[in-house]
Amino acid sequence: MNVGVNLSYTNSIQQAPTSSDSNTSNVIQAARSVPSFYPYYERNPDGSYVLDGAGNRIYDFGKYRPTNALQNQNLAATLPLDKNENKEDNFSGKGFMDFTFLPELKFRTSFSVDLVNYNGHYYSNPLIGQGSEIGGSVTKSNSRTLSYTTSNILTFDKKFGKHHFNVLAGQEFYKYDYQTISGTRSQFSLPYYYEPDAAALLGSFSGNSDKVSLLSYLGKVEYDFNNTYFLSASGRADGSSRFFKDNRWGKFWSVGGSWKISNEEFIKNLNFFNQLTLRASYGGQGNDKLLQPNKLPLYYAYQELYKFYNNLGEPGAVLEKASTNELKWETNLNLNVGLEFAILNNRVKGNIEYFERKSQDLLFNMPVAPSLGINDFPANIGTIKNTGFEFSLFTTPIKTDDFHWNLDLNLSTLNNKITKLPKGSILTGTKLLQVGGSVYDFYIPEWAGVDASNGRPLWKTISTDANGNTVEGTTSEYAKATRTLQGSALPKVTGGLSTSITYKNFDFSGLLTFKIGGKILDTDYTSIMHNGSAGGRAWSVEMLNRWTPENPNTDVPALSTITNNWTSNSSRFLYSGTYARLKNVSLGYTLPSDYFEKLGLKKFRIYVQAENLLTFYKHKGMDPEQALDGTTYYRYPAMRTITFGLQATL
Amino acid sequence: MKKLKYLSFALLAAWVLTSCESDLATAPTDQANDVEVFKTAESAETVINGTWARFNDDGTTYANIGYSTVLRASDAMGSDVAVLTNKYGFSSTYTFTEMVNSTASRPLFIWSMLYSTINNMNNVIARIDGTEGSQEKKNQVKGQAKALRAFCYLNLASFYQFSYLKDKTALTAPIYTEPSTITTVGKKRASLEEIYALVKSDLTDADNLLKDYTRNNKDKINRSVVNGILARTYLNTGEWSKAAAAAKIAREGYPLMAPEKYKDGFNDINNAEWIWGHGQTQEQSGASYAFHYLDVSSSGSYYYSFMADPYFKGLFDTNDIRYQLFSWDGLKGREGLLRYAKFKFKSGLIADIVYMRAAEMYLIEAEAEARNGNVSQAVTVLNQLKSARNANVYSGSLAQNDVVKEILIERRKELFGEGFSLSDIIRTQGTVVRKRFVDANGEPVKVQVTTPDGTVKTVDGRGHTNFAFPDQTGFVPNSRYYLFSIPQKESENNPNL
Repeated sequence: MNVGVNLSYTNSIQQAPTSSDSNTSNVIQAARSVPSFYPYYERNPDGSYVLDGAGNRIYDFGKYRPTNALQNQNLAATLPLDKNENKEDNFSGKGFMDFTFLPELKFRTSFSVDLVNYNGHYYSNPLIGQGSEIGGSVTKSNSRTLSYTTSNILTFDKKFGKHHFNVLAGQEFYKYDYQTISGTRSQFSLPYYYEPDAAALLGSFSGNSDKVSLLSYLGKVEYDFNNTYFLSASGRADGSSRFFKDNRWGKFWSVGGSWKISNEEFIKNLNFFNQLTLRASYGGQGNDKLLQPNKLPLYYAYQELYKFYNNLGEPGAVLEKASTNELKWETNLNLNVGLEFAILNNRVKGNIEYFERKSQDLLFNMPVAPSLGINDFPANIGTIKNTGFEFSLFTTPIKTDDFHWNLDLNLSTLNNKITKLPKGSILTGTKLLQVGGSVYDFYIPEWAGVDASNGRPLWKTISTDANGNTVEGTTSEYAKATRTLQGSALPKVTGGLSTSITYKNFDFSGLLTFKIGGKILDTDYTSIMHNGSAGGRAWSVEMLNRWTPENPNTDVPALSTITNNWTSNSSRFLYSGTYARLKNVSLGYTLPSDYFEKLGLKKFRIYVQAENLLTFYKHKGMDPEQALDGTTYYRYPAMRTITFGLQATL
Repeated sequence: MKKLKYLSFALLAAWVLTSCESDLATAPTDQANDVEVFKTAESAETVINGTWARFNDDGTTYANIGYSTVLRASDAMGSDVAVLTNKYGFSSTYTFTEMVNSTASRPLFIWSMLYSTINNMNNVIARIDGTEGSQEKKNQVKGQAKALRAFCYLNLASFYQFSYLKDKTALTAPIYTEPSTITTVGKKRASLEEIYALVKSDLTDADNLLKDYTRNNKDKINRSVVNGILARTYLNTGEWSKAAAAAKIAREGYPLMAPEKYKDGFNDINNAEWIWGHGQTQEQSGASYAFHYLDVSSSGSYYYSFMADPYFKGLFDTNDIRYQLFSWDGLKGREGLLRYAKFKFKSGLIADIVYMRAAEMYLIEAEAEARNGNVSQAVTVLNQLKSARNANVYSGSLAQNDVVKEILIERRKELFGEGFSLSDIIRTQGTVVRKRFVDANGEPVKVQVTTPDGTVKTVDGRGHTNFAFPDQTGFVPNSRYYLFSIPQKESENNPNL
């Protein structure tokens, strides 16, 4: 019998202002939105500062500013007085107990547990800014997330000469247990008191808890002959609490095999390969990770549910989700074929892999005609197929005592295709789903330029006339534009090139990542491309090229205080996603040991390191590293950082 | 010690092995299933409360919060509110580019809000008879559900199609009277006539079902509210005597407020004249956000954007209590704008929302009587309201047209900011009127303002900034720009529309 336990604990405190999302307190968003001519301190008409009675400058909150220039906001003034604090305690533990009945028969019972305790503390000050109107406010929230997995596995492992069997059977149970509370108070009598006790007025108090569980039974058989031929087969049944009891269980299986060709005499005799393995596997996995239309997880996916929504102290409930009893597991069938090799004394290693992943009964939120009065609901909607190649190569061109150079390359491709849908097509956001297409196909109006005669934006329209002929035209009214397929967000190839060189005491390393193909709809950029309707909002220099009677041929419409909707989703703001970025580069020098040995140090290294030093990308202003679906949403851009460092090893 | 450890592991293992299928039955803690909700008439009533709370306080953006959004949009598209176009929320509504745009977010928000409320009420109506409880309670719940459903359909009929009196066969919006499931297929648009038939039958049923009901607060629908909605309905369909009769019943027990009360800020549901509204508390304050647009005189108001058209001021007698609410703005960047300080936040930036007042019922009664030919009765009712506001009584021409015109002007004066502008323009087949605030020579009219430091300045008065539809044509009656568009999501997912 053998027992083992492993425990760990981490704690973090984060104090940072909002830096993503469309929230006006997002510091990145604010920097982008407010034109630089709006002052930080209040000014007199002659340009001098307005001073208060004590001779101090007064923060300018810009009540006079248009909303688009974040009126009533001066983040530079309020952030030092406000508080955005997150504290997290993270405990995790793993334990197991092995019983060895016979040398070849073992039973292992194990558990792993994660406990996360999270405390949020948000405070807006009562002195200045919008919070002063309600005497400041404070929100404190706490959540506790406990998740654990237990498993009981019986293993039989035996060698009969060159035959080796490994048979496994067991059961697993996963449980997720979450609870949260949150409360808000306002009306502080004094500044610099941050806790709810110091605030007079109770705003809200809320809390709820969630449970998710997953029970699995599994078995697996592995066989190998002479450490050269490997075969395996497995099966499992998973029961998820998210589904209705009749459809709760999903059954999945897989088979696999590999051939270590390099162990064969005829390969050994070639004296060329250090390693050569051919692998193939095929099998299914289940997915029950449902999401609500708002992208939060959906844990109770089958019942008709009414959300508690109280009214002025009286209990209330309102329909949240229609019944979806038929919902079941999504199955992902994976086919993988791969070849691994190593040659020239392991100086060149690589692997090539082809994969085909078919998602059956795909889980998806089905859009509903809003007149039905129910929300979009989760459904198993069809089948999609992802195929692609992955290729990696690791080389060591130079390897001497003083000089060591590694050069690695990886490339991958991904192709996505819908092969089955319950109805002809499904429109979801900026995408169109249809058989033969991909879930990454943009379906938005096609930009047809600016009307040279009047400066209005134009989009393409396609309609059918009385004779059944297709007629193409243009419109200046966005809602009348025809949506058409405008290419895919998926890149053709993504990859990375990395190198590391050590020469005597110097070391150098670098990583270049790149993406070829794919389109990105830059909806962040459009916020500074308004035609004048968002007065006060900063403008892109591209607006200098606006239509005027003197500049009729342009792709930026005329200015007006009335919106022309030209920044609405269209191919006008679809940009190529092809880019390359020097993600990381570093140069170091390790001091010879006699300099510092007396200090008791084993190693002493000085280095300079840069992240995101160079980005090669045509469309300025946007970080090309965006979500896979090719849409932007006020993401915090990758920062360029340069670090100088000393590294001492005791 | 060691033994203890093994024992605990063994126990754990035993416990682990017993975890079984029963653990797979989970339920949310902030939601209840339909069987629980529709067990008793009392628990079914929570669906009325919950739907009502969401109907008022739930939103997708700060400018799309609850039903109040419909009212704000209606005023932003009228003649008397000069929306500041550089402020968030209603500028593209004001310039007629938003509600006509089926891809914009507000048409989707309003349409979805009305129909999700309808579906909740359909669930209540379909299931209330099967619950446990007294008939009295069931009648109350069913009556309120029918009335709220009718209110939603009345809004669809009022904003998604031209006047009933123009063409009652015009297709408008689909009708659903049964709960939707995931297999329900979208329906085709029904005509105004069909929608009004449902509205009237629902309200008549509700009037019966609620005859013994006494409500505990003005958020609830009782017979007064039902008759108020009926009065609006009959006014739309041109059934004048029924409109006048329903209006009279609705205002019973709600005396017109004392003149000074008019200056209290229209933020308190306890005002004697309010028949129906939505209360707000520190905790439930979503709908209050509307006051950040409506309130143009409190420092806490964020957008301050529903300014009054200077020509609107000219409609009032100077002794009218309402006239005292006007003042020229002297704040930096806002000099020369006209404030009409009708709406003011309560402390803590909350404010109750008004949906129906006795004054409106006087106006409906007066208009219905006038249109029905009982002109002198109409003038009597109109003058009751005018007197209550310290305004000069109407003593002009008794020609039907003149009296109706006077009543419609009084509606604008009395109901400013309460959401009647656009629906009245559609209903009366009228037109938006927006003129530049200039003198006979085309020069801006000068007004005197007082800046925060007390300096008195003469500046240009500022009113409307939008004078035409987006296609540059002038305002006309029955324009497609007046109608709310059916959202693109509906046409994409409803094959029968």
